[in-house]
Amino acid sequence: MAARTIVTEYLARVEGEGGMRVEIDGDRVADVKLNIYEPPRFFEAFLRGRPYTDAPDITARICGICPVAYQMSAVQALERLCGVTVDGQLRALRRLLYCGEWIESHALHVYMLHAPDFLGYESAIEIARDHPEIVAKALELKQTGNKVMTVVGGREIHPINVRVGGWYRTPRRAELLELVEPLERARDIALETVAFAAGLPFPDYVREYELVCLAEPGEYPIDRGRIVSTAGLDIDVSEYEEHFVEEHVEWSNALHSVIVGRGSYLCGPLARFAVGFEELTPVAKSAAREAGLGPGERNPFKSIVVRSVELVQACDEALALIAAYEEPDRPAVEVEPRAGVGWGITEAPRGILYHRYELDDGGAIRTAKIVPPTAQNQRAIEEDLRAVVESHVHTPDDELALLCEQTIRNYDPCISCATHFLKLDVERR
Amino acid sequence: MRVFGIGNRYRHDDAAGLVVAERVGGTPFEGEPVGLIEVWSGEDAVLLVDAVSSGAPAGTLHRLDAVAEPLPPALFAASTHHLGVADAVELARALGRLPAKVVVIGIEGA
Repeated sequence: MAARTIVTEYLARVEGEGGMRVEIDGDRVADVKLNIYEPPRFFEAFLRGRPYTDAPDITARICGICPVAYQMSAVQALERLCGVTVDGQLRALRRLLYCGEWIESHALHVYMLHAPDFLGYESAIEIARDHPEIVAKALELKQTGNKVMTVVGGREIHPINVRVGGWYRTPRRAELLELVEPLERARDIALETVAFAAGLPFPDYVREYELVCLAEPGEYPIDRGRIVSTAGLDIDVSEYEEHFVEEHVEWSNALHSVIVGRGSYLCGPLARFAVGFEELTPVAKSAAREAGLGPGERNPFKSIVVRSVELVQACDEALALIAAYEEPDRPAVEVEPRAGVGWGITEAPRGILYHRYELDDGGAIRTAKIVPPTAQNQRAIEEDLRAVVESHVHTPDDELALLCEQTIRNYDPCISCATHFLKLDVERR
Repeated sequence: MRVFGIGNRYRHDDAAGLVVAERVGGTPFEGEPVGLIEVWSGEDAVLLVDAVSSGAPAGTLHRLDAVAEPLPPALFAASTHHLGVADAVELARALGRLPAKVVVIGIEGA
């Protein structure tokens, strides 16, 4: 077969701006590049000199889909630095807010961004023309996530209620109880979503990744825990930079993150599911089993099913958190800033999000470092692209380009986050 | 006819729709555009006011009939994160949840 290049200049259905280029020489894949051309956004530099209290609101602006992840990693890092523990209902509310974000983000990705690949549609709008009942439920699910964000976070996009030490205002119990009925409906829709996703046609593909996520006994990984991997890594967040390094590559404005001495790794739903399977709620676990999924699942195309199981988990957990909610005496604990370094890491919908801050003794930020999940997954995405193209080298270019895009969307990449924005080139020679 | 002003108060001229809604007694709408499908349910006629960017001189008014034809997505592209106003209208149309009359006034930003 002749040399050829497959190029997607502007990837649709991803958050942000990027492209892809695959060069094929005969039966051999010569080169694969995930090309992130969204310009760098310099958030870490904006933070320098700002008061530590600004970090959750400034970093939330990195992303309109997962602002809560930024807020949660930021407050965790700064509270650790200042020697403050936020627990009880204040912490439970944070997990509830995070569940809201998982619901809206996963519902968007499963139905609006990823499902069209499996069903052969250009967009969710086309699905809606043929199957309005599916898309109507997807919207209801997403809107329920948004409602949780509004009630707990004060606003559905870029919540305004999160502060270092807790909250500006904690919700009344009656306000949370209004979320119960929509969340119960959302959990039913999420269960239907698992069955829907499990029935999609999946390319026959598995790869042994090093999967990395958080682990906390008794909890599905969301807002805290040690950093663990399927290759035996088990570290505190303060050790993150000893094990994970960022490298610049000339074809991407997002840094590539690798594990020292080993290379690429994968974070996100597949990792959380592999490590945290036993921590799923009984409803989520049985939904996963009925879908034929177990913790050994390594087909990245099935991440859409795992995301659906996580939708059940997030709805179920949100309901449990609301049932157990008691209004706290005060919305936040006292925080006294001090000089030092603090680290925070939480599970954004698409994977682990690391923050490190260094403060001076007046509480001003001296340096900040943010490593978003898409930057961490970039190397693994390129390796998947290479393997998928190698196993489909005789597939016609247009079909292959679609398969490559689907592969990229397995990871729900948030390009905006990674540059702190996607475009696909396949070249055949 | 119910008026919805769409936009972001903190994003300069993108606040134009909100300001109009407040002046005429309409509803400012600052959330995700797909949320419109929920808030306009039950309405027979709605007027949407939003800032647009087409390259025309600032202050130019565009009047569009969203029932007659799809909105040009590029005119309302303010974010790559969310489904925009044009997507919300098309989703609503596909779902049979588009009010009988939807007039969109686009105000060209600077």
